[in-house]
Amino acid sequence: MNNFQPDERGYWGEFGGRFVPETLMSPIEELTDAYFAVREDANFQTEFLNLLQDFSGRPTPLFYAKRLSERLGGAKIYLKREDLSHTGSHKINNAVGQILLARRMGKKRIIAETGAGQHGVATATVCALFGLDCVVYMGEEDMRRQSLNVFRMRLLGAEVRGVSAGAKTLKDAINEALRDWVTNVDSTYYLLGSALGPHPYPLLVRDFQSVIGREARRQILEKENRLPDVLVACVGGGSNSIGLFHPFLNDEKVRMIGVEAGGKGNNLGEHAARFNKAGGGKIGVLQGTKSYLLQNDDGQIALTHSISAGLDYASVGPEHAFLQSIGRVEYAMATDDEALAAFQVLSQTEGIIPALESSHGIAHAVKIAPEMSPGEIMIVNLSGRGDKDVNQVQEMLER
Amino acid sequence: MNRKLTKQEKNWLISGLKTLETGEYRGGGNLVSGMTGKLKPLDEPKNPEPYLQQIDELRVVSKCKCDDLDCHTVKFQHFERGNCPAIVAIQIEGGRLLIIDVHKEKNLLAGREVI
Repeated sequence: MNNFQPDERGYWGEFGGRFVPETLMSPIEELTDAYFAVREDANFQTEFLNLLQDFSGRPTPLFYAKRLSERLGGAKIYLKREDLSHTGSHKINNAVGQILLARRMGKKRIIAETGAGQHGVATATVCALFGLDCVVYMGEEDMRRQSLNVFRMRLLGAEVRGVSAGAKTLKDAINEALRDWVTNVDSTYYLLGSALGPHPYPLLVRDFQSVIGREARRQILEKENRLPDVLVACVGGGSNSIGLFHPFLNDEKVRMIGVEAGGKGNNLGEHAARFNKAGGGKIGVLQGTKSYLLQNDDGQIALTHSISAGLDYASVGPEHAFLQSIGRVEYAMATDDEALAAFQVLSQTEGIIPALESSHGIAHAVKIAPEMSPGEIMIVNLSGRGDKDVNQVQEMLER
Repeated sequence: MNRKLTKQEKNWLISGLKTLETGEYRGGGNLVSGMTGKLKPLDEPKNPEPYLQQIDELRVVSKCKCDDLDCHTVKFQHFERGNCPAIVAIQIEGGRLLIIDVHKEKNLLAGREVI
């Protein structure tokens, strides 16, 4: 039995670690100490689970997608309904956990980065809940794509700062958040949104998100009296997928597939599939952690593209890189067009509008379910709802 | 280690500290308000002179051990872990981040990172 924990320096195999400015070493060590203290603290864990239940609406249902399963004519497909979480995605799980940690550490000001806006909304929500100042960094391109979420954050009392540098997407937002942090270390807690960044962030985000997989495991055993054959989840930074996968990692017969953004082509700059080695995916260091990155021949970080702001990022969480390297999890791609088609298929067969991020997972399920037998079971993590994407999809479909 | 700063190290410090008087010392100029859609104002200007005057007296007492040949992170004699936040964090040539740390109680230059 492998417990899939990183070593004390935050490495899973050769991936992970802590590559940060010296200025941040002290707050990162403070965060590490604080996290390991609460990790085994029953009071903290009880408060966390109570808030997830009473504030976020957990447990989320495990829903049998009967019409989708029948239409595809293969595996029985279940959807883990993270879209029904408060704020509309799984991001609230991590935001609740980290805001409790920030309060324990006595921090009064919270900063965050966001791509699709879901993590920004979740952060703004928990800051409102606890009356803490909140600044969210977001690339201007993402602000344009996700204007509804920008308004939601403002409504919740957060200050949204648009980043006009670089590609104006998530990487640039993270750079600005790090810059803010190094100049405000005493007062500020950086609430990172994915299983990325320097140790201990990939670990603590994974731990807070693992509630998804623990619930799914219990629910499928109640419904089917056995474990699923396949788990599918989209992978941007990788928080929803690692949250689903982690409690099943020791179940050797459960196949796991992470789905990256295949974008509009295989050339560098046309996609955000970090495990696509032919498409520029190589091992490197970005924003505090060693993992697979999209980079050119000179090692410069490449621009990325995805229809989905939440998957549009040049790196992937280090635990995913490790799981890929040992062959425990498979990684596939879904293109923009496939995700857009899946967005419509799920809307029309199940009455559920998925987030464009989650649509990548659905797209892969649509590909592989027909090849599976009707007796087989697949769980797809429906990481978020698609209300935020409706305007963008409307524009694309009417072009 | 206990050495004077090289010419390049002094130049990095001077160019970084000069941004204090323009208000660009935290990367200002590329942030847009989510409320108004307009470019956010730069940070409040500060006088760099008290820091510039310290440069000639600075000594490098340790260097980052990351083994990256292109890493230029050093600590000065006033560095004290946990007490030295950055006053400058700006993007320089090649997209690198220049960070200048100051001892928050003594107001003395404490470290410089080029990463």
